[in-house]
Amino acid sequence: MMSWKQLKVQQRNRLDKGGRINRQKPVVFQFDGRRLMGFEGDTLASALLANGVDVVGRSFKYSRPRGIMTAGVEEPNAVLQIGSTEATQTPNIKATEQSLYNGLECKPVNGWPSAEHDVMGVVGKIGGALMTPGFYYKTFMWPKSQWENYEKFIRKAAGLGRSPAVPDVDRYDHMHHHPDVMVVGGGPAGLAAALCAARSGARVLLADERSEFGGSLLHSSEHIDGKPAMEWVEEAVAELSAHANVTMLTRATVNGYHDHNFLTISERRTDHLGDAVPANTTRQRLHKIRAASVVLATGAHERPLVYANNDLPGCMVASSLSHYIHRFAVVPGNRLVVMTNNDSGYDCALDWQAAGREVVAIVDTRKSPDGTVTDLARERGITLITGSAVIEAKGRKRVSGVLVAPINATGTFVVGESQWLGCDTVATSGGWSPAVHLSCHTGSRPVWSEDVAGFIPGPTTEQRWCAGSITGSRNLAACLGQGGEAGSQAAQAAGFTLGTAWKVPSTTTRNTVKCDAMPLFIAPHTLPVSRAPKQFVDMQNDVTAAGIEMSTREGFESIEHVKRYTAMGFGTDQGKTGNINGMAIVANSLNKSIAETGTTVFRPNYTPVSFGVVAGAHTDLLFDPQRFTPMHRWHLEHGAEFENVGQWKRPLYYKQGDETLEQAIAREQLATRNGVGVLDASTLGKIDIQGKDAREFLGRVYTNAWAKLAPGRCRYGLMCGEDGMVMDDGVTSCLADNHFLMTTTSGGAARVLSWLEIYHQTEWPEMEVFFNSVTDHWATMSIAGPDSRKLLEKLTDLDVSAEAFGFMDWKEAVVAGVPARIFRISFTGDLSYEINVPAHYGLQVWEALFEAGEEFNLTPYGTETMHVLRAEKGFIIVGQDTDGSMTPIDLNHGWAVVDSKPFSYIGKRGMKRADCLRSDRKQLVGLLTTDPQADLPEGAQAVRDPNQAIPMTMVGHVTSSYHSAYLDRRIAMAVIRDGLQRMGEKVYFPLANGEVVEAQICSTVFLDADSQRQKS
Amino acid sequence: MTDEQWGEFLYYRKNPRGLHHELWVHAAGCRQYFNVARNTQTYEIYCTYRLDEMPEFGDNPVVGPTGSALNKARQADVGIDQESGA
Repeated sequence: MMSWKQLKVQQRNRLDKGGRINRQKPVVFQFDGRRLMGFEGDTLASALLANGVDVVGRSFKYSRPRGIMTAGVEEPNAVLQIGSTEATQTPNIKATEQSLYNGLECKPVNGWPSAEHDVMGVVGKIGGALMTPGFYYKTFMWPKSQWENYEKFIRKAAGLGRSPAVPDVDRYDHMHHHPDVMVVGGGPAGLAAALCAARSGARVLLADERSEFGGSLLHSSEHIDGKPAMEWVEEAVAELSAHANVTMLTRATVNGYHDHNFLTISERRTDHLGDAVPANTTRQRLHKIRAASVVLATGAHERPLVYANNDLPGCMVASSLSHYIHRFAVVPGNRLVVMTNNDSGYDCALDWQAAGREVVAIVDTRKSPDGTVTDLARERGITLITGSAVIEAKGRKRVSGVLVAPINATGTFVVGESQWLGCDTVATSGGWSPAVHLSCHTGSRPVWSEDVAGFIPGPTTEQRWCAGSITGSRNLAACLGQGGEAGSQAAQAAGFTLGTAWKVPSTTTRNTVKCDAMPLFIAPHTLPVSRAPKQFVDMQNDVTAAGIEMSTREGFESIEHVKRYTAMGFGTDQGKTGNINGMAIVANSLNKSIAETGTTVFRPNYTPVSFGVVAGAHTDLLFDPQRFTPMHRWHLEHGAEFENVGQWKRPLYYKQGDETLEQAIAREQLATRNGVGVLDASTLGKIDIQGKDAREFLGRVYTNAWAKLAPGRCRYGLMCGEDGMVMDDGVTSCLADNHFLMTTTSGGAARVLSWLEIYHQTEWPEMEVFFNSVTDHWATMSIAGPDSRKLLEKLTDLDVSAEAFGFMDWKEAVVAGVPARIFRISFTGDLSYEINVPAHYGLQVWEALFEAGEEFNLTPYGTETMHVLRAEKGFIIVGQDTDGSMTPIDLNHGWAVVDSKPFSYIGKRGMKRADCLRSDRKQLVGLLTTDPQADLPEGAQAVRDPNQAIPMTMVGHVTSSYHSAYLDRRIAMAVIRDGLQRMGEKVYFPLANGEVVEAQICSTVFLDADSQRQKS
Repeated sequence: MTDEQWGEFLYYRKNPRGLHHELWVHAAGCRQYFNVARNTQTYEIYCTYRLDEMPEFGDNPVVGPTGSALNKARQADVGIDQESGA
């Protein structure tokens, strides 16, 4: 184990002073098993660079060593696996985004046995030449049957990290905001926008992905109002914090910009503290924003230039060097060569030199650059090589030098001898790509701008403004001005006016006189692109210039196709550094302009988000609501096994001792048929319908008649869609002349209620009728069986004799001391009463039933027994015996269709279609298997002749099939073509196991055909 | 009404690009149905109106389909900074 001092000494690239780090707070972490030290305020990337770590991973396809290339969210290479325990494993974290904390453990996502010493790298070097674009499609897709085997190997060799093997231990949540102005990005433009909007009184939400506000000013040498830029930032942040109407979020990436100014932000709340999150805190939070106005101040990403071997560790994006030097006091090398096609590349050289390290040369691709920074570089004694380019880098695990050669004015050819420059760092600047990602999310296509040499946001239908470098602006004063303007306008559009106009602060910058940039994306080589050493465009996906050219030669001309064929722009960085260069190469090889070839567009999310933050608190029990009846606790205590019916938990059966399901339901069936059983039917949908037109309304939504249903009476109703197909069924009771209680299937309650509403609101608004869901208001217990009357008698003073309380009557009564509605309806075909009591009394009455029912051996039964009992009597279950293609006639329920009603009813016209009137439609019939104990599965297909050749002509299928304990035989229902005309005929069911079940078509009523039992 | 006409009414739906008059429902709240005039291309919502009202926008809505007048003015105002291109 290394001592504290040794760890400190390791930071050989750390400057003695400066940086926004806390040197009093050293932080120890582990990279790939090595113990290293950084400081509070470091990112993982700055700490790795401070320690001189060059190789942070191996490339996806060729296993080439890769180092940190950028300082931000655009990083393609430094993608790490983080986590000190299995449960906290997090793949694909960008080292440039991850704040350092004590005890952080990380390793590269690929490279075996380690990134430093990688076995696949050897294979990559040998096989590299063969791994062309579309390699996987071409090689591994054949033979097709082997793909699954190839895939396992490829995924293992090429994988990008791994997910934890155990459940996530962290907490996540969601939060909603409705600001007047949402400002995305806390750089100079975003801060100016937020200040103006806040001063106008608007409610402002400002979010930035970094750990602190400032954006480009975090590493700028510029001055605002005569002070270092970060002092202005601190003042702005202080003013905003003092506003009660401003909410500020850091470490909060705006990842999605959806329609109508709806934005999603993933905020990393504790990822910088450690992977052991403090108790009772939320690791990450998803903010959902609905803003009146949106200001996009998302900035721009600097593009690297493409040259041979530009993926060697030590090859970096120019501005990232300034970033590491200013923000972290880290100079990631000793000897620097800069290549630039514009003025901004000079900054890093000046900063590098000021940090006391050697600048070998600035290679400017422009013939005669004359900006202020060029003069400044000359003054400082930096070697300037103009009209030239770095054409190739050399080195093994770090750059050791570059070849620099003069190029022609358009940058297409090398025009002279190349020279060798020894160096360990190459910084390139190819210009800036506005971060148009979010603006694309709402369907706004970006527009190519020659002036900017980049895509800028296109027109939008959203109430949004863009400000700062997202518009292509590279001038601090302009960014501040645009920000203030956008913020004021955004606030104004939301109804707020800025009192005193925004005064743009004065700025001083190194580059007072600018020199135009040269449109160059790839440096030429002495060899053609196809023969030169690899020139990488997309580091993360190992996409090279040669690969892109090959794909256009193979006929891929659409930029979208090239992207998918080469994988350019895929992966966790989504091509933030490489896309524009790649598009330029495509355009060039197609002899088109970039404006003509266009760009791929971006979808949410801007950066990867964790599944945890998307799920928020909606996991485990909170994933989906579970609905319990008032008697649920009793069921639990009495051995119930549950099934899910929609969100409801319903007892499937009650298990006694070692009973199997079959034994339990046989017992429940016999107990009910021979004595009395009880079912918890509380889940049944119940809709209270009131109003003077309620009765007429029922007549229009049900197929049968309701005009004469008297108060105190109940009736079965069948509901159809406009197409005439059965949609729901249930018993509706007349409570008073203008008051009805409709019951629906347990799963169909919500659908039926909205069905009633839409017809009332859109078709018959003149009808006076109101609907209310009362499903949860009542506890419903259905007692059934010959002893049910005797049981009920014990609990109520009501006269329950057959004469006083007939079948399909309902009465109000006191049951077990509780006011109740009793419905004499039956879903079993036996004498049955459905007792409804207010939900809170449910358990009390249920228990009273069992107390009174002891002498009758009252037996609770579940849904499985309910299914068998109703099938014995031929009652249908909508959704089981119907499938959306069955009319009431198909179900042999013609008795429930009344065409003589004065007004029409829903489904009438649909049922009259010629196809619905055919006599040979599939119709619901009963089936008796020839072997009474035969096992006939639901879903089995029927044929008339089991000996016909395959494929057989199928004439229907089994919808319900049970062993009836009472009848001691199998009973089934099926839909059979022309079945109602074929009573007594045989049909056959060839099963998957080769057996054929023979059955006879019969009535669906297997028990008590003349209904003596239910009417007794 | 023939079966064909009935089938047309029941199963065929227009899927226009641009202005579309739609029926929406506040399903998780008050259960009220209402009308929305919306652009299917830009998702712009032109107006909402009650079931017993006529739409404010006929075949040629004043705003859209490629952005409201407000937006166009806005883009002219806060445009690209031409003089300071990279």
